[in-house]
Amino acid sequence: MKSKVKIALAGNPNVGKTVIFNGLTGSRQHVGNWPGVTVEKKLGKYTHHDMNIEVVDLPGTYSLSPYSIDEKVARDYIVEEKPDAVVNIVDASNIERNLYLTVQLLEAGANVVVALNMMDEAEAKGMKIDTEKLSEILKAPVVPMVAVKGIGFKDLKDAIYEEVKKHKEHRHMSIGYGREVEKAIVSLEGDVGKCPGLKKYRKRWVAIKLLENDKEVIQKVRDGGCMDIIKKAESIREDISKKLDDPETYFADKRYEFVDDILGVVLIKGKKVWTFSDMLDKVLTHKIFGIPVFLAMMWATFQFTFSVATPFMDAIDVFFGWLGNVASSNISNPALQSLVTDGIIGGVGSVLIFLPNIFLLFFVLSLMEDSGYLSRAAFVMDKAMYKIGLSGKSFVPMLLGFGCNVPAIMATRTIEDRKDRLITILVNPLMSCSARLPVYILFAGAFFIGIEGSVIFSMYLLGIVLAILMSLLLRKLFFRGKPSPLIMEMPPYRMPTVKSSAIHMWEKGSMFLKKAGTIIFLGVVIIWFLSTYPGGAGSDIENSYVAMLGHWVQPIFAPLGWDWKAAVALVFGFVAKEIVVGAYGTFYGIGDADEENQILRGALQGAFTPVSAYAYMAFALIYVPCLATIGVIKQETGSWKWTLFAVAYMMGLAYLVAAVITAAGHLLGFA
Amino acid sequence: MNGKVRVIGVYSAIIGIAYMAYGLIEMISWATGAMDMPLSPSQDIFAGFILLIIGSILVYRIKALLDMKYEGLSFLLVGLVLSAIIGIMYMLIMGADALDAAIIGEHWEFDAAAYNLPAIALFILLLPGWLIIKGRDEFGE
Amino acid sequence: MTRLTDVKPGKKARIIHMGVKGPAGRRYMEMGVVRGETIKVVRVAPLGDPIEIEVKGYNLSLRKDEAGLIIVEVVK
Repeated sequence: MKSKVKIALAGNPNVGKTVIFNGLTGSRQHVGNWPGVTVEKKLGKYTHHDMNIEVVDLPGTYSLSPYSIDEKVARDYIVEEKPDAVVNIVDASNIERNLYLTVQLLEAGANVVVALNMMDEAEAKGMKIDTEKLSEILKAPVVPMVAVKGIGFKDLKDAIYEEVKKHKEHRHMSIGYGREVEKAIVSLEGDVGKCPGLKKYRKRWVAIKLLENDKEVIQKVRDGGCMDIIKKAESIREDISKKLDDPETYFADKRYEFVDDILGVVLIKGKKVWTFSDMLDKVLTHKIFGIPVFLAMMWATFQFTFSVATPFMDAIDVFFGWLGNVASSNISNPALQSLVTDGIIGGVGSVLIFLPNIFLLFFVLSLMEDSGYLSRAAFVMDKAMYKIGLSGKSFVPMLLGFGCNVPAIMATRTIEDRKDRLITILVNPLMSCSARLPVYILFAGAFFIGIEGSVIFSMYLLGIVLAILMSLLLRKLFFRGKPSPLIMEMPPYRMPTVKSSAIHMWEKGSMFLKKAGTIIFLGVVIIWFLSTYPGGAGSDIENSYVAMLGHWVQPIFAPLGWDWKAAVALVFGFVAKEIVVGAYGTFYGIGDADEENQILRGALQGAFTPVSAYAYMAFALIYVPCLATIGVIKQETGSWKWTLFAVAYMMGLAYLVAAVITAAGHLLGFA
Repeated sequence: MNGKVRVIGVYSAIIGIAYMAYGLIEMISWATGAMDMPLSPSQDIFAGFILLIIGSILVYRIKALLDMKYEGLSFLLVGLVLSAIIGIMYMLIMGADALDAAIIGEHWEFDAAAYNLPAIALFILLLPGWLIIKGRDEFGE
Repeated sequence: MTRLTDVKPGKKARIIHMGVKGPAGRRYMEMGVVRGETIKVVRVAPLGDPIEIEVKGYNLSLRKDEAGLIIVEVVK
């Protein structure tokens, strides 16, 4: 008889939870969101003997206090959903801090199975852990593992199976909190037991949490209608404050004492020897070499991704070209043909062509994250970022924006603080992504011959300056206060496996496609419609709604010296920035125009002046993120409000900057 | 082991100097334009900068390395890792370019400047340095 | 009265007073930075901030703004 069993994986960040999750569930995984929050929820399945087991990968947390969204999500699942078992993954080489979470899990009443992972690293440090004794003391099975090498999974599955089978309110371990406090706990426990609304929770846990002034638990008790318990707890708390210590500190101290006592019995410490990690950090966070090496790594990232992406991009180009031909030769209805060929295939193709770039950036990002280097980058750049209202964790996401804003914005997941993260996301599109480059090259080549490089560089510089200014401005206006305190673990360097980084790359990339895909598709179809009708398929671009829109909007751009074609090209740029070049090609009747095309450049010289061209380039830099980016902003912020805000403020800023450039140019005597 | 460290250590320092020299040449060639040199420099100021950094790292604590101190070993290790990252990166770029040419049907030509042959060459030349890493247990504080 | 931020890299110190309060203070405690704990200052970042300490066997970076509120006693 197969039974449906639910287990959860819990543990600190950087303990190999994902590896174990993948090892248990293989490809039977599904990624979603926890309801109401932008926290990723990973579900998986596996079967062992006669049991079907559903696995929930909880967010990595250092503790079960409800003060960050990740912790709330994790704790709520354990305490409300009451999974049949909680697999607590512990980093053996870092066992002291890891056990802090373990004891909290046990205290909350979870049926814990400890997966003691990274035994190889512990051994390398010279540590010896008596896993049997540990299991005795914790009253929970302890399974030594080296997950990356595939060691321990069978034992883990067996242990989970056994634990679930034993499923009853079994002998939970309890920490002794001292005579005085224990009396209070027992007394409160009695009251909790009498409160019907609190039946599902472990009584002792509720009592302890009340004494710790845990706001969420207090709310639960309030919801359960047992107000007097709250008052009682309050007065006991005051008592403890006077006689012993601030209750929260008291309980934390006692837990650590308990962990220390356990380790005194169970652990033989290793001697301190230089590990690879120590050696790497000596140079990578060095006063002189730290930052240059980091910048070099970012440069190498862009070199690598751009060059290696090119063959794949060309392959996609060829493929979509072929697809377009197949479509046009097989569809007779001109309207439908235009929709499918130009609209869908052409439009989607022009966005997807950047997919290799996006995926490769995800790959490199995964390498940096899994190896542990990302925290070093944040460590080294934090002070500079703090000055502009962000934290060191924002630096890599901002830099990635130079490659493509899509992976850059998704990389902000490492930023825990909501405000810090939001600012980083909103400001990110100002980092000039690689898709804008063709526009710069086209215009710089037409109007700034001889100094193209410097002009293009000035665009990048402009983006950076604006990003800094906007970050400071957003702080002052909407997100008052300083960046969230930096309390960041620097895990030991670990060798990332190509396999796991490839898996991460695939996960992130697919998520982007699924989430942003709809917006991209819709946007593309809408643009197609606006540019084909009312003239109909095959007609001149002048007979389209887009052209009408361009003419209608032109007066706004007249002071900047732009004609209606410029406005229309910008509308196309909404889909993907590099389409602006293609759009211009269409206007001037040049078939397959690219940014190097001399005829196109000549044509542009008739429509712009150097000043208006420079203003246009700046506008293209700022005005709006491409559809894919808009899609990702929505995905990562979870809010239409902020997404639309991003679009709006960028349009406003773009116009403002273009106007300033135009005015300044005229003032300085240029045409 | 001490003798081995001395020989390979000095060797890696020499390669480090070569890295620095080549890095400077590349940075200068960015400013002055292409130079007629046997291993044509890429005129990429960033590439030159990185080679300069790698070289500096290899040379910086050479004394500590020869004294069998962990600090010296750290610098050698990072120098080796960076050398590998850059060297392999250029090799991958070369491969990607060849693949691209095949896809779009163009004739592929080996462009020594674009693929930074010196960087690849120096990476390969530095490989013996890993032998010292293998014997790292002999080092002291 | 030595502040944690005044301790030179390479030196160990025992925490006498954990002066960080509020949510940050809670986080510090969860990460093992509690009164009575002996920690080691590993290094200072190239730009002068943050600092990296070794606590409970692992490495943690902290900004001087908060870390400076921790009073310690240097140990040999």
